[in-house]
Amino acid sequence: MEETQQQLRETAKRLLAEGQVNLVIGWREGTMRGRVQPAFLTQPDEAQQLVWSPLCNLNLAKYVRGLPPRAAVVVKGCDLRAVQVLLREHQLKREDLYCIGVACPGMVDVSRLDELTDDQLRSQPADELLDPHCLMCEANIPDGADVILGEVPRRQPAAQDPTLAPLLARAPEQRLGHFVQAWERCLRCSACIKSCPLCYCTTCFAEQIKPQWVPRRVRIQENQMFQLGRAMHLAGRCVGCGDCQRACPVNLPLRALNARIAADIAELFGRWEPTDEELPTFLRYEQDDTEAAIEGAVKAGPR
Amino acid sequence: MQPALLPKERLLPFLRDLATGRRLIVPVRDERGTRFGALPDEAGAALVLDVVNTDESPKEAVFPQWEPLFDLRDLGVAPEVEPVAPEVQPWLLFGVRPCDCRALVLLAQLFEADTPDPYHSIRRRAGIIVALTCVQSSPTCFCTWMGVPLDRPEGADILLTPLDDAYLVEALTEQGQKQLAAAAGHLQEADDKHLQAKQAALEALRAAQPAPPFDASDEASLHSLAEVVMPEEQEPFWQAIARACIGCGVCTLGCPTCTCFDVNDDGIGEHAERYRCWDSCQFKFYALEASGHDPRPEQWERQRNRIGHKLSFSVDRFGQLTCVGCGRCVRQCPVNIDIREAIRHLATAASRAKTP
Repeated sequence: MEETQQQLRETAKRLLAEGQVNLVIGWREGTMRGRVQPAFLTQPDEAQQLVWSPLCNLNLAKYVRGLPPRAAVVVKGCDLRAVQVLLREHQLKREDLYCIGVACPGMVDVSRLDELTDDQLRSQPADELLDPHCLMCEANIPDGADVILGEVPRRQPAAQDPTLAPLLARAPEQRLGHFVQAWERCLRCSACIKSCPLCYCTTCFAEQIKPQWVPRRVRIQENQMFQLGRAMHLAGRCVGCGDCQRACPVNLPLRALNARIAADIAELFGRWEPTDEELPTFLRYEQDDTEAAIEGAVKAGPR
Repeated sequence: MQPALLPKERLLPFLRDLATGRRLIVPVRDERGTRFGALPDEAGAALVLDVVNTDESPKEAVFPQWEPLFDLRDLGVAPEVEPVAPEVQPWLLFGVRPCDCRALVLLAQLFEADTPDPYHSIRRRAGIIVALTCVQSSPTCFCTWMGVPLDRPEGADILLTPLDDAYLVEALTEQGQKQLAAAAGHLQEADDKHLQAKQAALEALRAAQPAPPFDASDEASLHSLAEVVMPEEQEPFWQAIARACIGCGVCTLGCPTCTCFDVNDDGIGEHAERYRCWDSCQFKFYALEASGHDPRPEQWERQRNRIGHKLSFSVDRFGQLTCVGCGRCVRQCPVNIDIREAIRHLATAASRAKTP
């Protein structure tokens, strides 16, 4: 990854020096072990600050909306996917953004930081050290970026989702119990929403005051409304980057829900890729759309 | 009272006896991380003694995340308003680190200043704090910068200091001394060498801390730091340090000294409730006024407000810093915004301002 990091610095430096862009968004060394922080660089000399390591998990697509043209952003596969969803949702113009792609070998599981050696935080991670999101990654090569740096094998998602499999082995009511129990501890901070590159509503339903969809009391009723609302607004759009999961200060199982909804949407409405011609699942309506969810609710009856 | 010794293996029975008639709250680890809570099992398996400070602070003991204030009935022109008094069982909080001890003192200072807040008062008066001396620090700790006393944590009633195979037990208040009587059977005599061992451990800890960028014990130094937060020439700095901020509020909700709350009404039909819940100056609607004006429309202004509150506004109002250096905001920020960088920068700016 060191070689790619060097190429990344050179590319950023050149783009800034040639005036092709006036801003480069990338990652730089953080202030503590195991962390990087977003870097916003405007001078060619600053390009030396950029890093590329298996700690660069932060999805930078959350910073690309509303920038004055023309900016560059460093993208892994999932960052680029998020940019592509934003493009399809008319949130920015492709020509305003230069995407510096980095072929991604996967990011390390930072929840196990204490077990990892300094060397493991710098080099291409072995599969057993990967973040669960990366094990299920379907787009580690940022195809469609303006340039792609580095070379890593194209990744196939693991046969079994490591987060979902144990959950799916349980009966449906137990699965619900798993989430309800977790939502009890939701702090309602909004880290999951604000860290998401695809949560960009000017006013989130969860913070709206008039009308107040979700009272701010922190009880299971409100927490559940908040968490389900968040997850459903990402249905068919979530790129599986994992920023919400990593940002959550109380370790809610956000990924499990996101991944399951994504799988359901793909099954019920067909897989949608941000590069597809047609509109995202959420923005599309067809006469013969399945009503499986509604039928299921009717069959299950009131709880 | 003379300091006493508690063999380490007797900690749990000691705590249970010490908390007789009180709810025992201790540092625990569960799926959500580390926090203060009840011991879930008899063996105390979840008791956390190996982390310096828990992910969540103990402030919920005196300032719960949300609580009802009033019950409202016969909604209409003149609803019946019934205050809801908190039902508080006496509690004993064990394992509070010196930073969090000071935080609880600062909360009391704020809530009890001017018009005392009865909800806080009732809770705080029901509690006994048993502090735990830090003999190691985590990479995000900077309490020594903030002048937090390590050998005699503020506001604590009892102090336990881990030595080799025992805890040194000291009563710091009269109430602490009284409470210790309930658990006296577990204690043995301590002597000078145990007190010296405590001092040696603290010396080693202090020596291992990074040098403070300013002198928190010097009033002039505090004020010169406070003065450099708001001037216009610092705006580019605030814009730069907050550039990555996503406004999630984790830094404030996790902060042991953040006290902001919002008051909301909610109800259906004939019954409603007025409650308060934690709020965050990082949130979009926090400072928005009914007129539509927002005094801090940009995220960098909200970060400056947060850090300014800790380092400047509190110095103006109380003559004190309200950051205790626990490092939670540093640890939990999803984009690694680090208040220590702000402190270093401001300290440099302050010393530059002093030299003519």
